[in-house]
Amino acid sequence: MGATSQRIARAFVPIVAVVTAALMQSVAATQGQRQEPGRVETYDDLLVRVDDMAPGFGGMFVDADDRLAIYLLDTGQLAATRAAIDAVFGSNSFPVRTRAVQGQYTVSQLKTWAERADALLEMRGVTLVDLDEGKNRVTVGLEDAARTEAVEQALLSLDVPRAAVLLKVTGPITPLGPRR
Amino acid sequence: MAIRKSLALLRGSLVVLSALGVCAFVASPLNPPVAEAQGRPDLEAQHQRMLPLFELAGVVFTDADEARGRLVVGVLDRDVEGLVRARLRVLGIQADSVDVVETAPIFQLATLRDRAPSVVAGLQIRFSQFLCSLGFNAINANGVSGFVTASHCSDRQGTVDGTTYYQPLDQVAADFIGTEIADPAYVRNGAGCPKGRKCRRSDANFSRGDGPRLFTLGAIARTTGIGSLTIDPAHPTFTITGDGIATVGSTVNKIGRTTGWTQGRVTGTCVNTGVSGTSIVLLCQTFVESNSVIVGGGDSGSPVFATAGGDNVTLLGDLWGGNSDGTQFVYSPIANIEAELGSLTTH
Repeated sequence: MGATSQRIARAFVPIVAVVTAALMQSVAATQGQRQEPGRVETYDDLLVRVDDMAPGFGGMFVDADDRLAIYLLDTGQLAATRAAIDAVFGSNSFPVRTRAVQGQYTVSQLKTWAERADALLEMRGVTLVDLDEGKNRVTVGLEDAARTEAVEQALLSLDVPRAAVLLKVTGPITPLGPRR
Repeated sequence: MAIRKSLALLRGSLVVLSALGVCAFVASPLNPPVAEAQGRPDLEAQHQRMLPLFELAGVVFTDADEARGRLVVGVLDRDVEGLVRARLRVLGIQADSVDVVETAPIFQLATLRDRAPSVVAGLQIRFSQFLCSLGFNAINANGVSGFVTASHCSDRQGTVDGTTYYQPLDQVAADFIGTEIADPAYVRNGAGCPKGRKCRRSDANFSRGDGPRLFTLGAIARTTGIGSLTIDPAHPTFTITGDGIATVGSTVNKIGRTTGWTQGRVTGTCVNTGVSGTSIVLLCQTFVESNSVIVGGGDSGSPVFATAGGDNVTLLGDLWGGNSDGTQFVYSPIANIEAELGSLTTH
């Protein structure tokens, strides 16, 4: 290799190194996403983050008047909680208008109880367990009302406050296809 | 396979039926009957002789209006009238017995269950002996172009089994659209999975797009309105402009081959859901309810989206389940789908 060629080659080394590093970072980032399937921050996790930022947050829903209704232990914390919601979810994610609703539980409490109540899904006839941020409760779904007593007994053993739980008869939840 | 971001290939083949003006015209008192001069059999005979008019561009229909004893020719544009009347003379038909009227084009109506010129979300798809709905087109993290539908809309749920898909129905090369290449296994004893159950976060798989047709990335078939299966010829697709999450109380939509375009309100987010009659629990799903029927068998896979009016929508996930009376459906959020299938480009 001649002197000129060597100079050109040396000049390109840092460029190649930078490009290679950038490519490796890009690949690593992509692989990172792929190598951690299932480790996604859930909607409930985001609700808990709001509660961390604005303690006393009990959930939220869009009401019939297209306002964001926010459950609060202290309804005087509406503005601070709305700011926390916007910080976690983004400021354009929900209706601008907001109202406070008196809550009884925080989403952190509800999440703890919902995770305990997930064990109910081991029972036949239990269709769902939900940290129900729209009702400030944990909602448990049943295929039919005949399961009610067994589920209530199980809630006791799981140390989930009965008053914090709504039981809802959903009927069976089944796949909606394929259709022959 | 080519995925194209341009929209509206549907537009060319879809259609409107809008000849109401014709009915109004032929009943008009402004057009005197000539039935006295030509009996009805004669009128019909002359009508039959008008068939060559369809060789002229812009002729939409011909009609023998027995009630008024007049012949009628529908044209797209008045400019064609001279050509029509010249041809009538050649055909030996008295020009003053014929009314030439302007009318809108008449098309064959296409539905979500018909063969579409371009593969888009919401259309009927077939695998083996079953029908489902196409969730959405996407490019996966490896750059493979294809589509997402419900995992249970494959030969073996939770297994990459090479299920082949066709749109809309016939298992022929011309209707082949792809082969399943990703369908993660259900996991027991994983985080949040109840004992004795097997879990995933989505009921979704990914198929490599294939076959002779174009796939339009970011397009969802748009019907003529809520409850309709008929594709809107003027606005044949919605355009996905982003992915998102839904809030309890918000209104969301779906397009599927069985119940078409329906909508309901979100009643639960991140709901751990026991699929009845199975050992499957789907973690963190979204529930949607309505007072009317919004879902039926075969809607599985349907794209679920939010719209702020207009053609642009936010993709929320793919529908997989519901209750027995069709007033509730359940979908897997897009974030869960990507957590399992890898990053997806959807628009």
